[in-house]
Amino acid sequence: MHRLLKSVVYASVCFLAVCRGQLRAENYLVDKSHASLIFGVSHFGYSYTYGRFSFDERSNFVWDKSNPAASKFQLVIPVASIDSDDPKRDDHLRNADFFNAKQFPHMIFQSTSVRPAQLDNPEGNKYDVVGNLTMHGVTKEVTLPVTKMGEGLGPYGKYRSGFFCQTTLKRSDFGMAHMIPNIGDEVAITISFEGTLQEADATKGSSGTR
Amino acid sequence: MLGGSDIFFGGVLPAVIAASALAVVWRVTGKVASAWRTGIVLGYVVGHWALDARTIGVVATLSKSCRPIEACDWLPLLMLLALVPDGVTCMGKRGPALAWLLRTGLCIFVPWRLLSGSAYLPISISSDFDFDFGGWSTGEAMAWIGGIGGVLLIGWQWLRIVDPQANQQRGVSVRSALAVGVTLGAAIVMALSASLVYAQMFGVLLAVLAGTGLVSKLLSTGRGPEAAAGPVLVAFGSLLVAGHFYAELKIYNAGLLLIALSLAIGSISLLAKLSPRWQAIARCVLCIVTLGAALALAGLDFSATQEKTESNPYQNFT
Repeated sequence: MHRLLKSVVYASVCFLAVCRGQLRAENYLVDKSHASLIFGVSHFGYSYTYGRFSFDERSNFVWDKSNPAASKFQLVIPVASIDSDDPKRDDHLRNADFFNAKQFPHMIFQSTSVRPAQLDNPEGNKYDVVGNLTMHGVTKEVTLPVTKMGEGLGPYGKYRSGFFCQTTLKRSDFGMAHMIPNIGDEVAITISFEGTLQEADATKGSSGTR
Repeated sequence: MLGGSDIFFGGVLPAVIAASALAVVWRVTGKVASAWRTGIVLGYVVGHWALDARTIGVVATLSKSCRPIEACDWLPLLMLLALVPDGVTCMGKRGPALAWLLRTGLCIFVPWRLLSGSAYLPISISSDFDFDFGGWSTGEAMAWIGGIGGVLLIGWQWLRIVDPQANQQRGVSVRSALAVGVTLGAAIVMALSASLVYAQMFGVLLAVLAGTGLVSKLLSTGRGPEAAAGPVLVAFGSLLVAGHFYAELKIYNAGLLLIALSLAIGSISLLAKLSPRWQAIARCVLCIVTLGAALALAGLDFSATQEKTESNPYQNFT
C-alpha cells in the first residue's frame, strides 16, 4: 500500500511537471516559408521603394505563455536574400555601398528581455521585445513592438505560433550612411514570422531553453 | 551623383593637406622621401575622415576610427602602418633587413585584416551565435592571403626601385602624372564595378597624388610618387582587395590596375637603354595600354550587366 501510494505521488509529480512544462516555455523553429522582413525606404523623397529579406532556418524563439518575460527570440536574416524586384539593384544593395553582404552576411536579432506593452494593449497581446540587433557589423539595442498574432495546429498537424512587428530604424545608426539623404536614412520595417513547435516540446513538454 | 561637398571633402581638402604636408616636411627636414610619405598618408587619412564626418559627424567618425567595423574603416590605420617599413630602412645596418621583414608582415596583414570577420574568414559574432557561416578552409585562406600578400610585396618592391635616371625632372613629372591617371582609371573601373564608395576612396588617393605631385614639381624635390611606394601601394592595393571581395571588381581588372600603377611609378628595366625622352614615351604607352585594357574590360562587364535579361511574362498577352 505504501509502495502504491509512493508510485501515485511520483506519477502525479511527473504529470504536473509535464503539464507545468507545457504551460511554460515552448521552443519554436521559425518556418522560413511563413516568415519575412519587408523594408521600405524613401527614394529621393519621390516615392518609397520596398523589398524583402528571408529568414535563416536557424531562427528560433522560445515562447512562454504564462510568463512572457521568460520568452526569447533569435532571428537570423541572410543579407544576400534581399529582393527588391530588381536584380541589379539587389546586387548593388548587397555590395559595399550598402549592406556589404560578403563582409556582414547576416543580420541577427537576439532578445534580452520581453515585457508586455504598456500602452494601447487592450487584448494583452502586445510586447516590447528588447534586444541586440547586429547589422552591418554594428550591434545596437533596439526595442521591437511585437504583437502575438495567434497559434494553433497547422494543416499538417504541427503546432504553430506567430508574431508581427512594425518599426523604423535609421540605417546610419548601423554605419550604413551611403547616399543619404537621396536614399532615405529612416527605413520602415515590417516583420512577420511563425514558428513550429519542436517535437521535443510537442510530445514531452520540455521547459528548457535552447 | 558627384556633388560639391564630395569634391571638396574628398578632393580639394586632401590635396591641399597632402601638398602642405609635403612642403612643410621637405622644408623642415630636407628629406624628400619622408616628405612624400607624410604628404600621401596625411592627405589620404584626412580625406577619408572628412568624407565620413560629412555624413555621420565628427564624433562618430573618430569613434569609428578607434573601432573599425568595415574593411575600408581600416584604411587610415593601414596607411599609418605603411609609413613604418620604408622609414626604418635607414636605421643602421639592420635597417634594410628589418624593413623587408616589416614589409612582408604588412603585406600579409593587409588582406588578412580586410577579410577577417567576413564571409571568407568568418569569426563568430558571439558565443550565442557560433554559427558556421561557411567561408574558406584553412588551406584556401592561406593560399588567398599568402597569394595577395606576395603580389603586394612584389608590387611594393617594383614601385620603390628608383631608375638610374629617375632624378631627371621629366621622368618625375611623367610618373606623377601617370600615377594620377591610373588612379583616376581605377576610380572609374571601381564605379563600373558597382562600388561608388570605393571609387570615391580612389578619388581621395587621386587628389592626394595630384597635390603632392604638383607641389613636388614646384619645389623641384626631384622625386616622384615612388618615394612613397609603401603608402601608395597599401592604399591602392587595399582598395583593389576590398573591391574584388566586397564589390564586383573582377580579379583580372584588379591585376591590370596594379600592373598599370607599377608601370606608372616603378622601374622598368627593359627601358633602361632608351634615352630619358623615349623612356617616358614608352612608359606612357605601356601604362595607358594596360589601363585602357582594364577600362575596356570593366566597360564590357558593366554593359553585360545592363542588358535586360529578364523574361516578360506578359509579352504574349498584348
